[in-house]
Amino acid sequence: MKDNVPKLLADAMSGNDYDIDVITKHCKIPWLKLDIKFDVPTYDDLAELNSNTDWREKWNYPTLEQDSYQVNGWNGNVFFGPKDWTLFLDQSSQEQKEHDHDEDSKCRSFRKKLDYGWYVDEPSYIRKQVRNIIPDSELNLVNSYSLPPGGYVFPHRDYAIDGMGLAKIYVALKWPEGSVFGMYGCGNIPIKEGDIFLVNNYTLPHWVHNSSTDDRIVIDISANLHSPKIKKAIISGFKHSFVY
Amino acid sequence: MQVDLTLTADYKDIAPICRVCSSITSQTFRLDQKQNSISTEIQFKNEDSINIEFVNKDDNDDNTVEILKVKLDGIDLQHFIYEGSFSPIYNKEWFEKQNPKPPLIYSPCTELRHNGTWSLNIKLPVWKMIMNKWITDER
Repeated sequence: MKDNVPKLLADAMSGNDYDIDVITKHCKIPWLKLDIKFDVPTYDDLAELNSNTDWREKWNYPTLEQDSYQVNGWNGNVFFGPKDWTLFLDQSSQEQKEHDHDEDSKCRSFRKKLDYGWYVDEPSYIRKQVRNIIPDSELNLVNSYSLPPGGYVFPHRDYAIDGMGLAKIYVALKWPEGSVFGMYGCGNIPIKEGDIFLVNNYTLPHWVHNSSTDDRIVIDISANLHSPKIKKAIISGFKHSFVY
Repeated sequence: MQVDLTLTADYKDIAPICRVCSSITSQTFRLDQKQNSISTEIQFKNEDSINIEFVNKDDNDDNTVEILKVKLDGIDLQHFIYEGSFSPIYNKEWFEKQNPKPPLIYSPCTELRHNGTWSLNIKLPVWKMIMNKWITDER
C-alpha cells in the first residue's frame, strides 16, 4: 500500500518535524508557556530594574494628552539594544509605515544594520540571567516593563514590521496577586510569578492592569527564536500544550 | 445608553443645531458654545448607527460643526470616528453652480459644512465592537 502513496503526501508525513517558524508566525497562538526560568531576584536586583527614565520619551512617542486614560503608570528601562540610540530612532522614524510598529519589532528590524550591546555592566542580574538562556549575538532587545499599583495599559494591538506573531519573551519577575494580562477572546494569560511566556502581542487586542498594592515588574526579551535554548523551549512548550 | 459628544461650533449669529439620533431615539441640541460637551441618553439596537444631523446650515452665516469626540457607554471611540460618513444635503442653488459636482458622501469626514447627516455604524457591546475592529485591522 505504501507504494501507492503520492510523493507529496509521503514527504509530508515523513518530514513533518516541529517548525518554530510555523508555530510562531502562522499558528496565531496567543501565548505559550516556556519551560525556562530566571533565578529568583533579590530586592537589589529588582531595584536595578526599576525605571528611571520615561519610556515614551525614550522612544520618541508622541506625548499623550494630559487627560489621556490609555496608559497609567506604565514605564520601562532598556538594558540591551542599539548602541547609538539617536541613530536608531532616526532611522526607524524614516520607515514607510501605515502603523507605528512596536519596540521589539523595530529592534529586530535594525539588528543587522546597527551595532547592538548592553547598557548595564557585566555583574548585573539581568545580563547574567539573559545570557544563561540566549547569547548576546541572538538578542535584539532586553527591557523591563514596570507597572505600579493601579497602573494599566489600555486595550490595544501592536503591529510588527516583519509579520511576526508569537515573539515576545515575557519574564514575569515580579507578578503580585492582582496582576492581569488580558488577551481578547482568550481570557487572561495564566501567569504566575517567575513564569516565562512567549506572548503574541500582534494578533489580538490585549491589556494589562495591576490591582495589587505592589509593583509589577516584567522583563521583555526580543531574540532570535532559533537560538538553541529558546527553540527547544518553544517546541517543548508547544508539545506540552497541544500534543501530550 | 450614555452618549457623550464633543462638538465645536463655528458661527457668527446662527448657532448650529444638531439632532443626535439612533434608529430608535433622537435628541436635539443647540451648539451655542465654541466647544460643546453634550451628554445624553440614546437607545440603540444591537446593530445600529449613531447619527449627527446638522439641520440649520445658513450660507450667509457660514455656520459649521466639527465632531471632536464620540463616547458611547463611557468608551471613547477614538480614531474609529473616521469610519463615519457624512451625507450632505446641499443648498440646491449652490449645488447647481458647482462644476465638477461635489461628492454625495464624504468619508472620512468630521467637519459638517452643509446640512446633512454624519453616520457611524455601531454594534453592541461597544467594547467588543472595538476589539473586533482591531482584530480585522490590516497591517
